[in-house]
Amino acid sequence: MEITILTFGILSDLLEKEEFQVQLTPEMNVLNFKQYLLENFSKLNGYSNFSVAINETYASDDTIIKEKDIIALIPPVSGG
Amino acid sequence: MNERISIKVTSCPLKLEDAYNFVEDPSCGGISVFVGTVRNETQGKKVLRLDFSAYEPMAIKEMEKIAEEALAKFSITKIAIHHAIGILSVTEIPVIIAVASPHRKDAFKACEFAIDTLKETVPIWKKEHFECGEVWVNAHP
Repeated sequence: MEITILTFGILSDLLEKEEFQVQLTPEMNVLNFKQYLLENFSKLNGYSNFSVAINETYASDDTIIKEKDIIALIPPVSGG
Repeated sequence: MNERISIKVTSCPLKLEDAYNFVEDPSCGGISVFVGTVRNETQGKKVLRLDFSAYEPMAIKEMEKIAEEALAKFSITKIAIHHAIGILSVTEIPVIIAVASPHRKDAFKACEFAIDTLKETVPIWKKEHFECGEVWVNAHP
């Protein structure tokens, strides 16, 4: 299934893009998705210090990713 | 949205009176305001400017959650949480939080709760620009 990924902050710089699509296997959870990114995107250079939001809400490691979800990669925030 | 809450993420300069006027209320005995300002140095290095970016729809949702939680936790009447994005220079204002309450202690506490939580949860990022280079704040543990 095709999923849209949004990147922010340092992750946009590392990946050199703010939005892209990936093909994921069904029933993948957030933890496995993070492992998938680290294994398939060498530009991350092992950077794993980020949270995942699904459809604009923080997701836990065991959340299952569904078709048409919008996934955001959220590095440590620094607003204020 | 809850009429006791004002949330804003904007690329325009923040105005203190917008947050203040929103929370002003006849039932309140005090208004507490926190204004975040761009500091001229970080760990001894001179800061030229900060560049703020946001995941805007989620930032607004997370700011609404903070405001709703503050209304539930403290005896406050109204709360405004406004954040600016884009390039800000030293002394300019990235964030304003204003809280009105019948008694002052709740306004102080809610204001502190709101800025502390915003810094932990709201998807907004700042890049510090120095004379020699730039860095994403908090990106590395």
